[in-house]
Amino acid sequence: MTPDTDDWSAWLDAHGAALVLFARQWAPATGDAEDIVQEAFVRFWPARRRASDTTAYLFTCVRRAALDWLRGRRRRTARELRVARPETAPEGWFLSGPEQSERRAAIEAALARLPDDQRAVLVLKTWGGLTFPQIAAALEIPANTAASRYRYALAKLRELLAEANVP
Amino acid sequence: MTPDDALARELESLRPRPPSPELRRRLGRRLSWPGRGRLWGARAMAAAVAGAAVGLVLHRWSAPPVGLPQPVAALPPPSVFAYQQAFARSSADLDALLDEQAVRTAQNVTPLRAGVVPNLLAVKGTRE
Repeated sequence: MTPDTDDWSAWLDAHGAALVLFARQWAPATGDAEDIVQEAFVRFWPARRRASDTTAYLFTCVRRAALDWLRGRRRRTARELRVARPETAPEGWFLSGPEQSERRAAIEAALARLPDDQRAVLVLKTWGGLTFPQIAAALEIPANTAASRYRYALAKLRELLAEANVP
Repeated sequence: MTPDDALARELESLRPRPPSPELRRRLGRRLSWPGRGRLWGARAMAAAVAGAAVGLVLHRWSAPPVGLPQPVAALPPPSVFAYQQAFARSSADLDALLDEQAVRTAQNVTPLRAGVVPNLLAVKGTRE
């Protein structure tokens, strides 16, 4: 999963979708999430050789850039935000296909209802392809906590989908 | 396979949206700009030149003005042993050493201002 190359576009090809999805845990709009990923990538690229786990560090950069973005967003007034970027309905998290679109929508709705810390672990494990030690490094939590959050997230998601009663 | 495993596989089958071409373009501009390193180098060079200029100006201000004679440390007078040595050689050597020291001492003496001594005498005279 980790590109052995100094080509930044290869890193974007390998992780870009998961990075944007991860950033959307803090910034629901795709444009904001891509701004976060851009900022994270610019921080990550010159410092990547110093990281003990490069892939985990890339996701750490996204989380930190997202937290910075949230802090900056809180400083601005709601009026300024409306002027800067008109509110639009966020795009779906996943590529749409002809099959099982109702099920996919139900999964997205259930994911959105998960606690933030559980959803972050689920995203990193399922779509980021990170191991629990890598997730622990990226989120700066113990590996056992990462593993237990993943289990809780799956159990909660199953419960929410059962409630929704979507085939 | 547990129900959680089945759900995990189902989740993995979903493909998150890829980043837009616009993000790739913006990253390309930010990361591949060739002048980025050179700009930092030019800034560092400008800062070094400015620092050197300030240092030079400060050095010139703190240095003594050019053209004035530098103070010369006065030579110490000959020791008693030097006089004894000169006398042991000959009386002429002792005279020469005494003369030399007399000339040197005379050069270091500040001449009295004219009129000082008569005034003092005048003051003494009025008291008497």
